[in-house]
Amino acid sequence: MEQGKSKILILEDDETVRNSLKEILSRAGHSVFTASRPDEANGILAANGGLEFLFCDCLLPQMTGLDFIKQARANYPAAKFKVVLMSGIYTDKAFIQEATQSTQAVAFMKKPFDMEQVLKIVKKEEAPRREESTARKKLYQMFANPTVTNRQKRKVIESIEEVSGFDLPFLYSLLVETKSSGYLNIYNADGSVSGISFCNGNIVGVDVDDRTTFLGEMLIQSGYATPKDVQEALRDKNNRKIGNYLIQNNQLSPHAFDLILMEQMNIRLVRTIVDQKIRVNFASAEVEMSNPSIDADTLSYYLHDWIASKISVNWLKSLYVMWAGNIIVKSPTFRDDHPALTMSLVKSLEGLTVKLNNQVTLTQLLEIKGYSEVAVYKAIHFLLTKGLVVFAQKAAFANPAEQLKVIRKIHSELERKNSYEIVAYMETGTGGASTESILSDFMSLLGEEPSDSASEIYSYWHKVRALAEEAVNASKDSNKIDQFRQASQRSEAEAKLKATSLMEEVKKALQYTQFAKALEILSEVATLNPQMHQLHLYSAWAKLGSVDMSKKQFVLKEVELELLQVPPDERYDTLFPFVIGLFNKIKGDVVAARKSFEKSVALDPSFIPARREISILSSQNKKQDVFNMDLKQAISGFFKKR
Amino acid sequence: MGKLDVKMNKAADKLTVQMAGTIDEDVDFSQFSLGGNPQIEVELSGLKSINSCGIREWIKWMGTAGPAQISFSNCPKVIVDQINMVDGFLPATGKVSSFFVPYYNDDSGSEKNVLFRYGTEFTEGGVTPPASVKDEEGNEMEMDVIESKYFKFLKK
Repeated sequence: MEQGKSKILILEDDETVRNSLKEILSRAGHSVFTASRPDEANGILAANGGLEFLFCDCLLPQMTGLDFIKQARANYPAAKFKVVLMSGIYTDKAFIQEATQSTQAVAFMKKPFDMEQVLKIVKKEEAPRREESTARKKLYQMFANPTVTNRQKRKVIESIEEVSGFDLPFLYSLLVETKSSGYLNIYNADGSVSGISFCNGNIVGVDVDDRTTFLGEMLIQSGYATPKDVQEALRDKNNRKIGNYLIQNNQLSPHAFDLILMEQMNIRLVRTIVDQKIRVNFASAEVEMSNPSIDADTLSYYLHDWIASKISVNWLKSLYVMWAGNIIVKSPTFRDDHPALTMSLVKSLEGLTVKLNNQVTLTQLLEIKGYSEVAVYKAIHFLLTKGLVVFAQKAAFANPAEQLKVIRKIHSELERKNSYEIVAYMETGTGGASTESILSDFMSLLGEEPSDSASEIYSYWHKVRALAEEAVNASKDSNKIDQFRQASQRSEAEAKLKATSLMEEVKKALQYTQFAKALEILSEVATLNPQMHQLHLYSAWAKLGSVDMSKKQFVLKEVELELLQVPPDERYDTLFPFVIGLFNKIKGDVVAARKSFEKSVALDPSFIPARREISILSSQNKKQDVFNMDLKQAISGFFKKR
Repeated sequence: MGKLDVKMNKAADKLTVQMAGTIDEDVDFSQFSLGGNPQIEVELSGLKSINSCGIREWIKWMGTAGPAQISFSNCPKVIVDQINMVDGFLPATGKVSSFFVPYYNDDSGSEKNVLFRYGTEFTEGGVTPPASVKDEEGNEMEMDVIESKYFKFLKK
């Protein structure tokens, strides 16, 4: 992984000191410029933005070092370099104190000095900035190390001030894959606290505010219990817990109930994955193993599911801004027969694992014909979350055309946003550092400034820089940024409100089988609020309702993608089995369709569309006999208690 | 002994509470009454961990102390983290009298918790860390926390 080092200017007339300093700093990976006179140093300052340190001798040929520093600060107000003063002559305490104060120097080195001291000063001074600016990057690069210690995990989690709820799947995976034990506490913006308990790489407890159990719905959906048994259990006068009641009455096996409890943990975990800022804290602790628990293999399925259904592609796009041009490499834990590679997001990208052998970048993957943008972002995010790929060094743009394409894409993203949104976009992609480092990290994504001022690429490069700089400047004005923030929040709230009211129209249109109208409104809803509750279920219903049988296969594929995006917590009400029923019906599997419609009615007997479908199927199958029935249905029919 | 061990000792107007172990969903604070004590000192050096359920129970329990002046001593890192992160974790009448700061040596990997005491290593105004902290082999150790975050509660 590329680690940005500091740009350092040494202004020293003594050649031996200058060269020794240059050597030790360069060897440590810093980018070092040297000057023996103030005019030379001025030239370097003018030509190189982003200098972070100035090592300056106090006694120089044309002026004193202190005067030079004052002049440089006045001439280059945007330059934010830190000053380290050096002198072999002026070494009395009073001078050092005054010189340090007047130049705001971070250190004063008396000659001759130990070269180790130089590195220590740079490390100390750059540490907070580096820690902050690369914290998020470091988090997502944790799997690049074959072994991650508890301390490293804790440090990287601690160094992040805030994360998004969408970062949590990665954190869960990291803690599971590295066999952690302890508590991950999640502090939500509304003041509530949730927590996940880990025991030796297993998730053994999930504590969230919303305690909705979905137990009854899950038992019916899974087929582990009949609607009648569940209803009886719920009416139980002894107030026994539903699971205990069913197990004690031999209506449910303890193993099946464990599976249901695991699914319940999944749903609770899903509730934590929200598009909101949160804070997290992980403390190692001895946690007792308990059953059921979620291990690394089970978590793979959940991660895949969450990434497919919960994490918005817009968020992924801004997260991957920082890595779009970096080479994706297989991590030390990658193996060709890893089960994660058989999951649908990865499988939908034909030949992906082979392409990963060839120094490919995300930008290049997005260009591959037949690869959908959503699938590329989500599949790569899934592999990164599983620790199977990491991002290596930044690849140079293959040619100016590629650079132009990237810059134009970023430009089109920024164009639609206000300053607050632009800074938030840059922050997600660069790690939430100080505004200066956000800007410089962000600009590094655009590549070198193009030289031909008449070219299109030059024009776009400058347009993007102007937008980014304007946004960063606006972010320094708290009143202005508050106005932008409020405007953004207002328009987001209005869009959500409008999407909710349009959704009511969608439901009405679907009830009256006006599928084309429903699809039209749904596309507007998707634009207004891509995270709208049950959006994908209603879209699937509308698509299945209006299916032209000559395009059946195409529609089924589209609907499959819609269903993949239905989050787990939307799968336990009447709509989900109903849509699955429609899907099976169009596929031609009438028996499975009927079962799904029956589950739908069991979850909500007043849901008319499911009842209607059952009666349509019944009327079509009036002459059906036991030889055409589903085997299980036929057998259960023979032995049904009267 | 359960996961949490609580010892309470009342002398004159002062209640001393000593806690060790884990505060989680199994904790039952109702058996440890804090009410009716003008002064409470909570000693936490033995506390190992606290999870989200424990945090909620703690806040409820502290609420039962009423207007008592509560002083927390020997707070381990897990408690300092909660004080920094959760509003209300440290009750309005609560003060930290001492807390541990983790130290680390990069080369040997040694870790050590150093006690910062009110009036010596810290005040409301900020911290004055010890000039030097060494591990058992005499290696110089560095503070192993992000200072701006870890000491945030002192400014609250």
